[in-house]
Amino acid sequence: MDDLTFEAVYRRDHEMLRRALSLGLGDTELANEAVDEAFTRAYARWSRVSQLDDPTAWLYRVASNWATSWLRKRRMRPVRPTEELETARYDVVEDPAVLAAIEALPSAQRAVIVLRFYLDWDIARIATALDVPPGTVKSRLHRALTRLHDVEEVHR
Amino acid sequence: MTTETTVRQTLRQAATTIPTGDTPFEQLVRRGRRRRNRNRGTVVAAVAALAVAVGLSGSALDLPGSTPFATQRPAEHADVAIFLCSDTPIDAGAAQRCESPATEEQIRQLRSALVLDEAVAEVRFETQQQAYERFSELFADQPELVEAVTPDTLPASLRITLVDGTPIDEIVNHYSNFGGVEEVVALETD
Repeated sequence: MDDLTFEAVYRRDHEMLRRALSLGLGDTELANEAVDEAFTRAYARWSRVSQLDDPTAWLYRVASNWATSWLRKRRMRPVRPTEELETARYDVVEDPAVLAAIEALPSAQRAVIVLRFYLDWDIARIATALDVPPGTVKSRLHRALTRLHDVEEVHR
Repeated sequence: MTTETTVRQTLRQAATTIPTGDTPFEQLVRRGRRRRNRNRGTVVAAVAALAVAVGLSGSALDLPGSTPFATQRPAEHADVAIFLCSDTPIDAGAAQRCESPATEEQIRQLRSALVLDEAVAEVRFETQQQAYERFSELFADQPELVEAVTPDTLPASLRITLVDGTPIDEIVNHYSNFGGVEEVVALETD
């Protein structure tokens, strides 16, 4: 990890984390702010962050916590998709019902689904990013997939 | 097709509608630099003291409203930095506040107000070039960061030392409203 520079991690992870968080939150603007905030914090203490086993998972966690905290402060619902974005993404997916089901999942389950299937992270990394035990990740994954499977069956 | 495959495909398709991010790396570096300045006061102090020692001081700029004692103390005692509008606003909010880089008149008005402010003990002006030099010193161990930044991406600032006991928040709020000001940052708190 000694060779990890801030710029290298920024170039590699910023866009990926922004998209993942946007999918998880259903709010691109908030995801942008949250990921920027996470990278800003990382930069201020890079000598320590770069020594972590997984700085990327740390960045996700900071961004996710920041977004959650912001939503809590504003007492807003966790999802506030704009009309334009909602239309756009439903226009491009082959299975709108599945997307609707993903977005209807409880936020904790949705985050697991995005990290597992959009970023292809393994259970251990997701656990680190969400700061929960691996067993909790598996449980959320299982429940979410069961629900999505049901939706898929109905619309097949 | 399994549920996992469908979910993966749906997320990838939905992600294509997310607009590309528009935060340039340099902006994050600048924002992070300010945090780091607050977090690593001793390093900043050493570098700022060096800057003063080699003559990078406000008086050399001969700006209108310079206080005669402006450079008597090293810059590590600054409590507040007033970042001036530049060509590269740090974020969308700054872009809204800053119609253009701070004009000489705006800087003059700001300095006049600071000089008259009883809560302000001293004022020092840091040019974009000085900010860049200090940045380069501060991150000498990370040349890739220095390479990513040029003087025109770092804002000039007025660095303020307050009279002891002055509530910093009030100063930050007050001077945030002046024309030509991008952002006012308390350097001693985090």
